[in-house]
Amino acid sequence: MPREIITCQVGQCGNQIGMEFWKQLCMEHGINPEGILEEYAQNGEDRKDVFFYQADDEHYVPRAVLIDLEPRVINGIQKSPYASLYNPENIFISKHGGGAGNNWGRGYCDAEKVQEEIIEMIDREADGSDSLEGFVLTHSIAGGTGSGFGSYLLERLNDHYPKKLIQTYSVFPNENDVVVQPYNCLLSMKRLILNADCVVVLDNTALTSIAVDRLKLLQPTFPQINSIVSTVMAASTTTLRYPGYMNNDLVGLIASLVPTPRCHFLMTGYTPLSLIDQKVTSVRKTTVLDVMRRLLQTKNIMATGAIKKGAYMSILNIIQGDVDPTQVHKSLQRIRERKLANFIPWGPASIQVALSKKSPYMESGHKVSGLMLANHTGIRSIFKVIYDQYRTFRKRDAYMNIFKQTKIFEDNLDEFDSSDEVVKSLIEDSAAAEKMDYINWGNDDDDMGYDPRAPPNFSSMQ
Amino acid sequence: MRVLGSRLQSTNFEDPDHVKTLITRKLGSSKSPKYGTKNSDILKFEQLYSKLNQKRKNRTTSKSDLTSILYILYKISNIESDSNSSSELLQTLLQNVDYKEENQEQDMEIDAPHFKPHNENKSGQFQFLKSFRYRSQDISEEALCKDLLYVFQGIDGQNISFSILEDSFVLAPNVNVSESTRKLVTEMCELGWLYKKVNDFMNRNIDSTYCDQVTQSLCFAFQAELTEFYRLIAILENQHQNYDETDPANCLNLRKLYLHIQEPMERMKWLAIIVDSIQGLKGGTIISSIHSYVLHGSPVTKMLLSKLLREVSAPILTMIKTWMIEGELNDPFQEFFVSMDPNVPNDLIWTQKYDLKPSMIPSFLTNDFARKILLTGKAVNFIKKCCHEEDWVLDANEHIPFNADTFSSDENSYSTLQNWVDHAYKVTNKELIELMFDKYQFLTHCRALRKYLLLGQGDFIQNLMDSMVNELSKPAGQLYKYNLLGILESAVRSSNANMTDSEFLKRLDVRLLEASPGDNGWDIFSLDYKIDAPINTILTPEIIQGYLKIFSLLWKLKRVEHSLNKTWVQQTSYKNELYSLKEIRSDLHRCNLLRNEMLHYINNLHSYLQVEVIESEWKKFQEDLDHAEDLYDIMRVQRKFIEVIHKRAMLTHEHIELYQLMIKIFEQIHQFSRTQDILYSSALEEYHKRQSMMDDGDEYSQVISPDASNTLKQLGKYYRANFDKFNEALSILEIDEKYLSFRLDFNEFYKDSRERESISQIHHDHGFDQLDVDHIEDDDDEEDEEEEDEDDEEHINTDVYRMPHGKRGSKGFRPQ
Repeated sequence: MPREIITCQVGQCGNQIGMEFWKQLCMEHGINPEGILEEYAQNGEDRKDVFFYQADDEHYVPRAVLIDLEPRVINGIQKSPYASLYNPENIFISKHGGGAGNNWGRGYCDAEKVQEEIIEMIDREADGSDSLEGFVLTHSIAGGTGSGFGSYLLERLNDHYPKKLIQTYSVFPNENDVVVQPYNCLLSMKRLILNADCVVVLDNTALTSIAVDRLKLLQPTFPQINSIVSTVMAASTTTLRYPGYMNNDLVGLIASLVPTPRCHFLMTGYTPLSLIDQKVTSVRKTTVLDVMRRLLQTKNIMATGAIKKGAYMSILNIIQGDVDPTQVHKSLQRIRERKLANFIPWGPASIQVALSKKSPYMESGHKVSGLMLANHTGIRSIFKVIYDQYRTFRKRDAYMNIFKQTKIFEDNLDEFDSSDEVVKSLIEDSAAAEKMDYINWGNDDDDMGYDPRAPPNFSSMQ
Repeated sequence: MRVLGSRLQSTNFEDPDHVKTLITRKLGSSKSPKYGTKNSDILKFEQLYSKLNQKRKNRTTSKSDLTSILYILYKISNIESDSNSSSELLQTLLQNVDYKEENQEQDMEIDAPHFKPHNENKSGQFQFLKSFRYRSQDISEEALCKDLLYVFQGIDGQNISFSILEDSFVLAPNVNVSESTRKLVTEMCELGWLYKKVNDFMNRNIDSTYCDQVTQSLCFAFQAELTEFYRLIAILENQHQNYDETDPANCLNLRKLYLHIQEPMERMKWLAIIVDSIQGLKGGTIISSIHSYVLHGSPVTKMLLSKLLREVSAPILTMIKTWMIEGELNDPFQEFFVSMDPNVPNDLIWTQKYDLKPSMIPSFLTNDFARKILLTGKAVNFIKKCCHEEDWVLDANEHIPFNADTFSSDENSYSTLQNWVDHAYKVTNKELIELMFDKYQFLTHCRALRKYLLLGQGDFIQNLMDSMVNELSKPAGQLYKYNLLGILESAVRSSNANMTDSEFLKRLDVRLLEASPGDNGWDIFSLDYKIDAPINTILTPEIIQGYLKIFSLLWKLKRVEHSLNKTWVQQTSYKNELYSLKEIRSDLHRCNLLRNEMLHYINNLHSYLQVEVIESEWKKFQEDLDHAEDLYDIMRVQRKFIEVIHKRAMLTHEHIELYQLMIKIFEQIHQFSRTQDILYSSALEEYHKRQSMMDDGDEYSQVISPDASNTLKQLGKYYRANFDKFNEALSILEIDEKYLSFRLDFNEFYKDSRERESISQIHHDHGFDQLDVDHIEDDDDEEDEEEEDEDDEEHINTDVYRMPHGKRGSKGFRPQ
């Protein structure tokens, strides 16, 4: 019972991230692009079966479902050396191949049309695992497919597998990637709030500036940024793949990070960063303290400006490499002395440290590396930007016609209103979580928050 | 005393006045820094001497006695001549003699009557001696020499015979010789007495079947000495027989004889001293006894004694060699310092079979050295008998040849011995350690223990936990070991545990502890790890028991974590449905936060135990193992590993309070999970009811499960109370446990909240009442039974509950 996790990668960005993620995983586990275990990796102490299964011919196959409404990215994957890694039955490309045109509505409605096919794929994957723990969705919330199709998928997964966890790696866009992205994001946000158990926020703006500032790339390409994302994803799953004494399942990993069910948006930090293909130029001395201190620095956090205000609800540092366990305490002491992290006042909170093994097959210039997963109330500033943009657009009714063309908005724009409400309530929740009286939350605010019984939701959609 | 006496008589100082002069001179020339006291010493001595002389005149002390006393004093002063304290010592002795003489004086007076009958008993012999005297008159020097040559061999001569009465050879009193000749003869007779003593000792022992090896070799050494002595006697006899009056220069006379026997007499004296000093001793103690004389100043004596020591040590050294190379104890007389208990079975070779007998350790070996010897032989036995390496032989001789026969106590050969022993010790123990690590894979066992009993293999433990939950929730009586073994096996198969060698996996077992009434599976289940020989010498049942104790705590912790994770899944899975039930929103929120607080505790405790305690100690443990030189070191390191973990994990007796609080908190968390289950299932029921009613346009039904809601509040309160107690108890403990309290209150929430509590309490009481000091105190040691306090709390909460817009703020959410 390896507590399997099925990865659904949706849309252009989702598949690109996904591809990088699997590439990274293959390298870490010593699996070659054809899915065959390398000679040197035969006796590893890693657990491959959380993310892979073995086909009849012993090939490792990712537990992944690849979905896109346009063929470009997936075709690219199929032409790459990793083409034969994936199970071809798990690849879905829309027949019309026209994509979602950056329209959440189209992605959502297209998904609804092909839901049976998709659910069948996922069911088949789920049946193939002994004790499925949950799903991971990789997507972007700016465009059409990742956001719309992704949203629909989240609803269906939640409905279909109510007891399974859903974690997403959601790329939040730069300010002006797509014209209608405030709409797309808002509509996706509702699903991320209601239907996901944990969302890892990957802020594109921050990723870009990290690539520029930390990796010294003048014009970071998508693959380069995606490689950062895959590093984060791989690191955040390392305790699942290299079982140690703690955090060996998804729930163990995220339960302590998510104090209340709706505040489940996590930001990440990673240090020291280097690209897979990039030669390590300068080898720094990395100690646990170095790593843990850097992880708390704004410039290493992959969420723009989010930690300037607000407070940490929880922090999990996954430290990989050759670590002297006694250093952990010293580092924590230093961090507290210097007050490097500001925590919520209404309850106990601390920096959890998980020590994890590092893949023995990958060279690294660093002795120690670390990933931070943190739940910080300041993350709402990202939502606030989306929400405010949406409000501005909505007031002017900007670009609304292209949404009205889709079935879901044919009759009314209620879906926008309910999403508005949900996102707003999350922002309020998040603000409330900074205050001492958060312990009394829910006592008096009748009109706060969104009531999911109210239409529309997916059931009324059918 | 007799021996001492013999030395006294061998001197020429017969005249008390002469000795007196010597001492006075001695005192005068004393190097004592206390020049001021010099003259007073002399003065004191003069006084004493005159006192003694007085006694002689009073016939209470014979002239020779007086001489003896003075001579002792002189000799002692000679021995100590280098020492600064010589004069002091002398002075003390003078005083003592003074004192003794005075006592003796009294004794003499008191004992006088008793002496008479004693003397009468002797009268028979006196008669004989008298007649003897009457018969012979003069005697030639030659005859005396002849007699003496007999006497030297312990045989009575014509005129000199052994007197049992006086325990010495005595020249018949009727022989008419000058007093000085008589003295000379008497003095030389001493050699006969000494010879007799040594010879008697030899005859007693040399053929005895009860004689131990060391004594025997001592006898042989004596024999060699005596052979030398016989040769001298033969020469003297020869000289004596070729007595030629014409050539007086070549013939043996008493003076010459006296000169000739000085050296043999000295040697014989030492032999006799040894005979005396080893009385009742055997084996190593004899060696120690002889060794104590070896540092004698005289080179001749030193040589003699060293030679003896060499001979005497040979059997022990041979034993050391046999013991260290072959592990055999060939010690029928129990002279060796390693003893064996033949009743102890082989699997206890290391721990119980052999022991050190400290008294038998020759004094030239240090205890540490002896320990090394013990350990090496033990290791050899262990290798051969427990590790089944019967063919293993130590080839220490190749590197440092060691010959038991050439050993002497001098620095050189001692260091050779030391090198040899060190080498043998190192080689043997290295071999043993290698066997332990390589053939018996000690470290892999440790790793397996770390993985399974100390829950290092997370995925395995998780599988085990997942699949054990149902089984272990049954009452203890309904638990069947084979069911659990089946689960264990499948947990192994489906986790990375299956990558462990089956050699180690097959040792993994389930242990069901003794159940007391009311126990369920959780109370009696334990993993176990079976260890057999020879590894069980290190991983003894006690050590394994120590591991199990840690397992028990970690397993409990894991179970709590498992149950909290389940409540989290429940919270996140139904977040949307239950969000609509506004009345219980605060309850659900409370659930979330309480769960969060509990999980925070559990995670930090877990992380403290695993990272701070086990992982750090494990690291130290491995480092310590690298430095282990022998099996004892390994055992010590292993024991230390467990002990330190016990201490730091609050498993020792002194931390019992903390442990109990911990268990109490665990129990509360389980209770919380159950309560949340009830709350959620009733809330979900309500939700579905409302869903269907909403379709009919009906109103909501009423409040959901107030019981669960109240229980929840109470739980939260008790939990906090227990946590505070735990934290308080923790903060009292020094050094190490600060790690944990630091982690548990990383953001100083609890510290602040305690402060707020006291401040707000005062505000509160001011606001409503007069300051009620008693009440504050009650609140401080918030007890489970605090009815009043609870009512208060409940009252406020239900207020909030029923009147959402009501009193919030009156309680005053505390100033931050």
